[in-house]
Amino acid sequence: MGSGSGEAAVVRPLLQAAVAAGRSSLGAHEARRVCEANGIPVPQEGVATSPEQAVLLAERFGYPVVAKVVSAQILHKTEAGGVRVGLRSAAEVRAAYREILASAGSYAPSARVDGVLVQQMVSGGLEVIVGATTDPTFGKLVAFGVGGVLVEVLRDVTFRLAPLGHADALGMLDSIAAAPVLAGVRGAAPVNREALASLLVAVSRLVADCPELAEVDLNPVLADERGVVAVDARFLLSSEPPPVHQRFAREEILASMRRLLRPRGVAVIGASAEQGKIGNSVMRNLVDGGYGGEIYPVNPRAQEILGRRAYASVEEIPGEVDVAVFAIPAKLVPGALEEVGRKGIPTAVLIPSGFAETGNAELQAQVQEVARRWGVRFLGPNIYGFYYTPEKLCATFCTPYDVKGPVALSSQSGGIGMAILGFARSAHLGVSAIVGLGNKADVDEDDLLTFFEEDDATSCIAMHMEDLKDGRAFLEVAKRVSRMKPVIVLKAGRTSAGATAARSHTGALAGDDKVYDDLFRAAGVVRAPGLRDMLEYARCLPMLPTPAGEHVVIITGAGGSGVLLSDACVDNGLSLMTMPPDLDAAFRQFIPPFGAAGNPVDITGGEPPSTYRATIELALEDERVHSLVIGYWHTIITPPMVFAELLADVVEAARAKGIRKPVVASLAGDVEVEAACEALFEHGIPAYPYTTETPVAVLGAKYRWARAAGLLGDRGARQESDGS
Amino acid sequence: MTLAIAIARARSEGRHLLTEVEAKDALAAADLPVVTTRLASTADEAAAIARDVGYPVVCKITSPDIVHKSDVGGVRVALADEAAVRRAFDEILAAAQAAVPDARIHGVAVQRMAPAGVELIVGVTTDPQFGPVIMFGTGGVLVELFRDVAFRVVPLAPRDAREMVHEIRGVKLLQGFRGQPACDVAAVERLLCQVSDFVEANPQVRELDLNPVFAYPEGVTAVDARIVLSEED
Repeated sequence: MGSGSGEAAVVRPLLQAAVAAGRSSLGAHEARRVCEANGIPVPQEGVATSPEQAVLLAERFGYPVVAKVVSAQILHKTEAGGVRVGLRSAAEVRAAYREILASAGSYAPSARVDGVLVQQMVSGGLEVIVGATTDPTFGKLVAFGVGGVLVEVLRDVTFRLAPLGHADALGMLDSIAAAPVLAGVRGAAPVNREALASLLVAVSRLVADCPELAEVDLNPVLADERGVVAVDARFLLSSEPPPVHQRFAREEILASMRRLLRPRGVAVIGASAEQGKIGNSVMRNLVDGGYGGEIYPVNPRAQEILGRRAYASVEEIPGEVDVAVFAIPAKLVPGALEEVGRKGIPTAVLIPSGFAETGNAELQAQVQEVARRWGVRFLGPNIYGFYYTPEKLCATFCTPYDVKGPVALSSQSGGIGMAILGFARSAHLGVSAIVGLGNKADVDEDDLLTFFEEDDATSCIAMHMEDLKDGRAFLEVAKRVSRMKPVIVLKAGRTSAGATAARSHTGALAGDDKVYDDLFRAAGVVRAPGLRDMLEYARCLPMLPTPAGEHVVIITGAGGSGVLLSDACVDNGLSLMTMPPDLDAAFRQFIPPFGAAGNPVDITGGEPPSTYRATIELALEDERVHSLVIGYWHTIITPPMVFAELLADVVEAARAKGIRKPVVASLAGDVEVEAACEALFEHGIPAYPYTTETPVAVLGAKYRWARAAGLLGDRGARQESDGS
Repeated sequence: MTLAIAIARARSEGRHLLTEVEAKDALAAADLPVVTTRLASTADEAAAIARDVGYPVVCKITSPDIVHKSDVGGVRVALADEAAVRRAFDEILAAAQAAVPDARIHGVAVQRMAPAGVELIVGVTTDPQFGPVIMFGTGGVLVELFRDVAFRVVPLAPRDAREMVHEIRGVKLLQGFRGQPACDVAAVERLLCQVSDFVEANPQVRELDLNPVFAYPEGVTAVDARIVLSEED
């Protein structure tokens, strides 16, 4: 990432010298040099050796100025009467010069005085903080926030990866809650956004180019309509080299992942004929799942397992094997992996536990070493295995699953993997893959994303994760993939992430979940707040067409649902369309006089199916409406199944005409609404009983993705940053 | 001046909004900690008040017809000596008369410029459902953006006041943040209870704003005060 810029050439020797001297921060003089070399504006200053020279300096900087004695022997300048602030005229500067020399002379008669430092006294303007920190997962980050103390108390700060482009820097300015303050409040002039963005870019390039810089605090920076000045600058150093992550080229990743997920043959090391053993479950799932490639049981004590010839070692297998599934105790894994390497098997699935997760990091490191030596890529250890439905492949000890569909899911934890499986089965969720990642000693989220990006069977990816090994690698791929396919992430450990011992203000602010939140959003990742949310997003996002714009209309039979659905729209960053008069009049034709048009369109409770049909049709066919939220209320006149059928029918009729708009429904009523919701899901319409929040939340997730993917134009992009 | 007198005067002038001086006098009469603010009709009086309360001072136009004082050039801050006060008095009157020629002018309010403390806001609003409700939060320009505020129904028990103070995120500012001394939280809680007592005793007060309130290591001070009366007694 280092561009080896000219600035870095000036600054790095200075930093390296300080680190070599065992120092952890830069002195004021060095800090000034670093700022000046990198275009970071600081208050101007100069040393005067006569009163007239002091006046010249003051007039060049502009009043008011500060004057300070310059003497290596006088450490406590204020005590020596060697500091004068707020000097507003030539006369005051001249007088201050003489007074300072006189005071210094009587305070320390033997001290050598080199002159008087004249410094521009910056005041007024808006106080902002610009900083940088080093995150264990993401590396160098830039931070921005408003207001000294408040920013820390209220944590109104935003983070981006360094280095940063100018447009991204401008985007940061809009990403904080206090953004309106930058535009000028209570009669204040707006700050110079260009200057502020340039400062962010300069700091980001500086830290990206200089690994020795651990943290930067420009606090406060005073910003006004003319420009910015960093009043105080702190630079903290680090002697630790940045972590080096093993990276594979995209083609290398794809070559391995294709063989892992679409193998020609699978070996099961530790295959067993005995019911209840993991090696037996894996064999059964491969066979029962209907996998079409060769399955080779490996067990030195067996002749035949499930009707297939067993081999003593993978090396004896005559055919091509692309995946070796391990169902043996942890301590036997390194040895068996050597054999896998010798056989030339490119990938392994390490089911066993007993590695880093139980404190045995050594054994895990040994496995990594063997794998690296043989060029074997592996999943796990400590996982349930994986499913890939296009190949009917169930390389797992859990129950088989074969419902094909567009969603690929992964989980770091086995328990969450089970929840994914149970939900999928219960919701008839079609999946392309379910993958356990466990300890992620090798294959991790960015490898999977790289595969799913090109996988035609996958159009949406949902990932549960507790950490990221290489945050930048993930963001890089996620940013690319999310433009085409939604990437949904459930990040566990929201409250403890990045709990590093920070030494600067910026570092302290980065010590929470905000970093993940900002960086994921900037990469277009849709973050799910909880497990069920992730699963529902995964189920609905591929189902919902991409909206053409921001105008959402609610049509409801229950006034109460209408109010709650409106609240949910606001909570999920959706914009209720302001109803144009002609459309309002058109709706009114269909609804009783005591009903309410506007938005929500309240058709009232006692209406027959024809009213639902007519109003929904109208909304679908009007080009100004981009998405529909339907609130249904169980009545004798329009029973749940009748409603479900009519809604499916109207939506399908529209689809036949080429009208594809997202439609979600909330059903209020007795238990019959559950079957109605199922029926609607079967027709590709997300519908939920007893909740007004979930249908709107999935629509909101679709919008977040579409805006970030640039599918809704500028307006969408702006809304996205406002909603932060 | 007690609240009753201020109300009578306001009503007779057809006003619902008390002037800053009226509001502060009424609050001070009820022992609430407000910055002493007195009305001057002449430059001589202004200078005398300034000498009395101590420099630096702030001067503000006081008129029932001028709500946004700064916008008409009706506020001068950090006046350090008598000459500055006299000059400010004349300029404020001239500016106000120029901006709002028919304004009824009560005079110029002179107050000591309170040293900066932790900035808070205390307010009362009358909710159609709940009646008088007290709001407490961190003050300053950003309060509206962050909405770092807590609400309680009047009357307030001491426990309510304590909870309110600890509910806002800005409580850290009061507890001594980044090496600053801790503020007098007990005085903040006492102020909240006093405000509750004040509006309970005076049901004609429909809205009340103490903004800003400065909290110090010892004590609190309301720097500005605003009282809006209900439509009827």
